[in-house]
Amino acid sequence: MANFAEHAALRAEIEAFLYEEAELLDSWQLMEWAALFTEDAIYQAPALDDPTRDPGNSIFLINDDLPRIQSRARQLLGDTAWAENPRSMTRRLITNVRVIAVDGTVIRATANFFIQRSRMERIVTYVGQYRYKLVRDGASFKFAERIVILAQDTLRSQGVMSIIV
Amino acid sequence: MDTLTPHRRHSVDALFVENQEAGIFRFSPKVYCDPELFRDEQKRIFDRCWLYAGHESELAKPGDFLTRRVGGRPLLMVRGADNRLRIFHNACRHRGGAVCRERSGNAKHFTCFYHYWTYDNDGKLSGVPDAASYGPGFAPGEMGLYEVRHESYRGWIFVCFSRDSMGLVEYLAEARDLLDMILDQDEGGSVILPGAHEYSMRANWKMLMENTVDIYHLNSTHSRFMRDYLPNVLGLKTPDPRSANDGAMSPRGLGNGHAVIEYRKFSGVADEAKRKAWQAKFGVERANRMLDYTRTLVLFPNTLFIEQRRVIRTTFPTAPDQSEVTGYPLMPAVDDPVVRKQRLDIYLSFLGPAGFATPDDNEVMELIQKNCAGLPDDAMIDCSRGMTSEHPKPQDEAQMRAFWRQWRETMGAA
Repeated sequence: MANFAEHAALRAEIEAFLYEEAELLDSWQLMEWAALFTEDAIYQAPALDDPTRDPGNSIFLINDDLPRIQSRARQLLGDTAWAENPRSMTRRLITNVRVIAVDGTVIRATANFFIQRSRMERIVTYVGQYRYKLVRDGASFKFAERIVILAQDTLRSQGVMSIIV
Repeated sequence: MDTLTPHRRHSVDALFVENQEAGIFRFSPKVYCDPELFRDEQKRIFDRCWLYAGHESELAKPGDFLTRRVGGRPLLMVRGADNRLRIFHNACRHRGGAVCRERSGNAKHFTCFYHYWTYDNDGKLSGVPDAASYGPGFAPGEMGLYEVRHESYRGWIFVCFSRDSMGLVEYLAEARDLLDMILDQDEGGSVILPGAHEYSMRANWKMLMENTVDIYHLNSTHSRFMRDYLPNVLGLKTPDPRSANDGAMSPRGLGNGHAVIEYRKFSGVADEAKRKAWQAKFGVERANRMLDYTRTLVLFPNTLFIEQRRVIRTTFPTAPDQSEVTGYPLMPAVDDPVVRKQRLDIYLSFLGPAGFATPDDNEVMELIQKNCAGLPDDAMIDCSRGMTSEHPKPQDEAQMRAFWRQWRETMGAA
């Protein structure tokens, strides 16, 4: 059985960090959000049917390095990301935060998410798990890996995924 | 025979205004919204035309199978123990339950869980619990899975739900030559990579057939891709829309509603060794065209191939205003890993539910759908660009008119 007391303080810190991140996204402070990533960071959403594949040999939904993360944020803030102009109203519930492994300043953690997106009289939800590689950054953290595992077998019911998930 | 034929031809023709001299081609918004036309499309288009179903690379070994809905029908595609590819309705001969509920895999047998009827991977019925209860007329040898007519062209598998439609090669008409030009570039063959994008749009399926070959919209609808992603991530110049298509070939119909746009490659120059080798193999003119141009191919009714992004894209309507869209990445089977990564980036940056372009295409098509549902039937949609031009450009709409003329013909036919 796991030692649940181990990492309790660290988990509380990570939770606080993730709540701040969710607030940045829900309030469309996307450049501030993009600043939470390391230089060599990846932001990925693997294929829905099998999240274990190699992004060099299969197609993902999202496979961003830092320049793409920053471009995604800039594009969404601009006025020609038509799918998000007018902008979606979103709220994110971040739960089930677990510290998986700690190696010095590098932390593997996971969290579950529920995102409701409302726009143009339509509501869609995205649900799944985040898998993080976090690195200590002073009193806070940075994302070295932020991987989105959606818990759904297709995006047919949502249509597209134009917001940052 | 359809007893309403003369009336039908008239009513479908009445949806269009076409005047070659004046350069006018318009159609009623009903083509996107009308529930009767939607029902007729299933019978007249999706049950009669050849539809892209999959790629042989997805079914490489005996026993490999995949299940997929094509033209609205649940299919089981499987390579039998005898190495033959067959396509079946995924429906048990007893009561119609599904014999396979996995998306893909490898299997010797398929079993419907309702009563455990079992079929070999060549479709033969091989197991019926308590078979003794059936009478003398029950012949298990004739109770194999219902097979679907299919043909492959260079690895692309198509199905046709009509027994009396023309064969695939005749159906592809001149599009076959364009497919050759595309597939000859993959000297070691082509392969579908896993992870197909499966998403949807609240818009009529035909809009995607137009949108995918609409060059005119790139600088407006995809402004964020052109003005942020290209310069800031790739370090490329945003193309000037006035000159971006200089030297492009004219878009053209290829027969049976198929069409192509061909334009100069956005960037990248082929190395000279490759050019020499291809010139020797395919002839100078054809090799240069293969190397210096890129194409987007429309295969009527519902398949598209964007060569630059290497996607086979299909769409299928589940309602007049609701369509499923699927994008399959088709890559060269033999590929340098660095180049493969570039190809995947080119694909993913633009395409897919979270790409930098697809969501904006969805947005505009969904807006059009809403508006068309509210417009009067005679508030015509315009599709006239380049109609009187001797050399239409990719940013014109000849490729869409080829699609619409075939749609009109097919929907009005007996």
